[in-house]
Amino acid sequence: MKKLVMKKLAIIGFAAMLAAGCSNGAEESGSSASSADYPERDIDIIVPYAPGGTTDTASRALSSVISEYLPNGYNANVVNKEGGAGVIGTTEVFNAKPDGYKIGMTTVGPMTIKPHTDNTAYTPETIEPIMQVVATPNVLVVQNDAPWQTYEEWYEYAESNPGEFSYGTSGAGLTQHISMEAFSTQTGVELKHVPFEGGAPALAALLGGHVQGALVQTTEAMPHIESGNMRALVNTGSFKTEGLEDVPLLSEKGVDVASDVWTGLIAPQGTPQEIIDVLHDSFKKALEDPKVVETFEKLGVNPAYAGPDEFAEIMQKDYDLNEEVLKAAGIIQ
Amino acid sequence: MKKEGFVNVILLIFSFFMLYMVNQLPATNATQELGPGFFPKLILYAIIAFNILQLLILFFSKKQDDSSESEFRFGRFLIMTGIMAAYVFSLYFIDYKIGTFLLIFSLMVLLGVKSYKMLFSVTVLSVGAIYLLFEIVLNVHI
Amino acid sequence: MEQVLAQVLDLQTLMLVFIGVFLGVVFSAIPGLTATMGIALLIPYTFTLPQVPAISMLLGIYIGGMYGGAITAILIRTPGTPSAAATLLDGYPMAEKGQAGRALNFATIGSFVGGIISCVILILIAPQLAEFGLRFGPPEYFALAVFGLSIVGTVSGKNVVKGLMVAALGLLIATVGMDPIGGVTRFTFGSINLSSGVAFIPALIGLFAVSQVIKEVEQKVTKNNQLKIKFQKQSVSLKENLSYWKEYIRSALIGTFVGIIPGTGTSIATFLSYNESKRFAKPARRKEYGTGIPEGVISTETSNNAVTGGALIPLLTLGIPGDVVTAVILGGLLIQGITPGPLLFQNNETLVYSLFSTLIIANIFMLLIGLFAIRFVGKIVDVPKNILLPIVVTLCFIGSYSLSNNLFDVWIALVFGVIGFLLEKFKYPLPPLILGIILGPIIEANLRRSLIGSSGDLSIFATRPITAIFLGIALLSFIYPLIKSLVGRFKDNAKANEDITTR
Repeated sequence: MKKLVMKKLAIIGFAAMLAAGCSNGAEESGSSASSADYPERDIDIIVPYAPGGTTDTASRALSSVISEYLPNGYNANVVNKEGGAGVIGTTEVFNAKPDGYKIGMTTVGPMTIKPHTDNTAYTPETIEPIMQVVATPNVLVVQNDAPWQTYEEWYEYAESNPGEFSYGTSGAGLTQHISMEAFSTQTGVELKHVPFEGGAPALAALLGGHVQGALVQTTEAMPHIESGNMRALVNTGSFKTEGLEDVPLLSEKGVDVASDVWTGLIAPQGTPQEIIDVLHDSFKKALEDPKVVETFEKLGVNPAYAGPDEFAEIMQKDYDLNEEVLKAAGIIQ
Repeated sequence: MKKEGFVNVILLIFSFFMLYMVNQLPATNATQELGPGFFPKLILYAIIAFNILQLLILFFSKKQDDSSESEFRFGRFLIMTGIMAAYVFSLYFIDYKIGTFLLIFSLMVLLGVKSYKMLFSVTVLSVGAIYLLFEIVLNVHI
Repeated sequence: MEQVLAQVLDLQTLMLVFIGVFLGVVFSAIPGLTATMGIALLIPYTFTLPQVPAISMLLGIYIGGMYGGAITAILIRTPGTPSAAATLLDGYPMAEKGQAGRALNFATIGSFVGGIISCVILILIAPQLAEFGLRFGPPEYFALAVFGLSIVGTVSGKNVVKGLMVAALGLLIATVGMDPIGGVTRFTFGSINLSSGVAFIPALIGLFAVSQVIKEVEQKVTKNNQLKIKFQKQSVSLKENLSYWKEYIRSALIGTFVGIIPGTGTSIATFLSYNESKRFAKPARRKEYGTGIPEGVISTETSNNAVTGGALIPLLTLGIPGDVVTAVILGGLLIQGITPGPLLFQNNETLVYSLFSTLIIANIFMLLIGLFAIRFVGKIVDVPKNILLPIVVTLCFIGSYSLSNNLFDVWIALVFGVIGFLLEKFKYPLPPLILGIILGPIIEANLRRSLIGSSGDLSIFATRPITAIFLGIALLSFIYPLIKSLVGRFKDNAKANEDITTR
């Protein structure tokens, strides 16, 4: 796959018929990339999920305006490399040449959970964080005719009926699952976890009364809360989102659980600091672009900027916490 | 026993190997009722049962199953699979346009296309079309 | 209403719907490109468009994308989308018999009828049906999937035992990757590429298309294959179409029904519809399924387009997307500031009815594009096989790669090509393998979810009415052909009961 000398040979061979389309054959020369005039061509952003998800759409929103902010007016192309719950794409970034032309979007799952369970090639320490882009807390929702009006009432029920309350999540071993496991280990309250293939099926099961609650991202729950079908009891994240200001945080209720589902930009280890700075500055401006802000707002996504150092801290914190919880829950040894 | 039975024997060996693999999976978690190994095990038992059943059928049915079926040209099968595997493997190292050119070319030769004009024009045109469609229009970089 | 018409009949909107349908057809016809990809790639371009045109375009791709797969499935046995997997059961044999034109005609008209009927159902009784879809909990999904698996008897040809064995192999293949409940990885042999399972579309492409090429090479098709088929513009008269009215209606209803249940998907709808079509056929006709008859094409293509209207029901009324495509459409709706759900119907009726109208227009465009395209795409069958096949196989490989930009998927296509070839060589049917792969995850995950819900009590499968009915029918459908087949065989195949023939 590497564009080596072979590519040039190929181009000569096919020149006759491809003459029209060879525009990007010229991009090869001298990739010694002195970081002073970076970038000299378009950048690839690897998105480790299929097209259409929130991460993908957010990346595409950023890339649609990034050429205005990158030096020299170059563009950033979104390349989807799905699979392995995000690990495949993230590994690709980890293995990429640290020249700043292949960076990646990654999320909390592949970055801080999968390294524990899947023996990935990378850890949060072996990649370069650029910035955090988006963060979304999770909320525990129940049907609006459920007997529990508040977190306290629900807690009481769950505590006195161990293993009775069933909650759906978007999948096994994801942030939602881990947050609840952490809740259980800290409080000793036993809950029944029913994983689904994504937030929507979990919500459908809740609407149909097949589970009693669901822990999903606020963005997924909002429409149902607004329509009055569901009620949010508690927020397991680290901050409150618009429209859910009166839903308490778990950490306000004396339980030390505060994990968000975040998305951020990373680069391979060893990328020169100047390049990281260029990328960071450009993407930060893109994140503040009115068009991007508007798109994020409509998607219900919260732009949550955090610089490289802060982002590294968030990653490390979640990484350590997840290890602890996964061990306590018996998912890893 | 007919040679068809070999398929079943191979499948049986494979199933027992997979059963061994299933037993390496972690045990059931208390709140999960059935562990990760339950369903694969169930299927493997089914496969084993069906295989034995099929062997019995083969063994007992006296009538020669209509042997009109063409014999298995193992050589050609191997060449074909080999060419395709080599192609996929080559994608890791050399540009896909060269690989694709060679793949289409060699398969056409294998299928008995003799005219050089045909060979070259079809190959070049298809590689060009694929390049245009996937790389230019769809931005897929192989 | 005037407002609705003004919005929908606007030239820009019409153009965008047309482009959408066209792209949908093209994307789904080419192996390795899917309507989902098309929608996802176009969403950024819809950022700047007004609501109705933007959504219309996405819906257009959705509708066109359901249909396009049929073209390649019929002509070159390469299902471009999972929804076309069942279409090739009879579609490709029809093409082999020189009836490619007829098959394409039936597929096009079927898709149109299915789309329109499901639209009408969507418009008339969406909210009530959405409630019904919600009644499907884990036990119901489990039962429906087991019922789906009982189709094995229909699609496994003469030897049901072989069919069952292949189906079980499919189920086993589906267990590769992450365990849906515990998150434990199984049978990945340490490969991250396998941790989310065997990629379905490359496997599908490999099983049918790559295997076909291997077969032809092995048998060395040369001159004799070039002359047989000559594409003719065979139009199908209205009268002939009307004679299949039962097929159209039944398949459209099945498709809509399956669409309403979130998380089931088009491939299940097509196989179920094929099965029911055969079940309702006259015994003499039943034998001909799989040999290339119009009913096979009509039942599958009608049902997969009928899924569109069905799947939009939970999406628009509840905000619950039923599959990947509708999930992506949901993203597109959100970006346009439209939040699907009960409130949408109350607060924004104009918009809802504009969407309904565009759906109907999209279906009409699909019909026109389809009928027009048939005139020349059918000529593909005129290309000598020894030129066509190398191109097909290349397209399969490149397409598999482009799905997720991963070379591993190309290996999947190749390996499944070899598996498919060997299975057919030893007279094992392929469709059950697909069924197993599609249904395996649904069966396992929902079985285990059900048991978590009931704390291990198996009686929930008997006490819930929908569950019990589906499981009951499934059980009968499993046992009956098996016994029939065994009895037949041990009776020294006196009259090898060819109740079931499939390729």
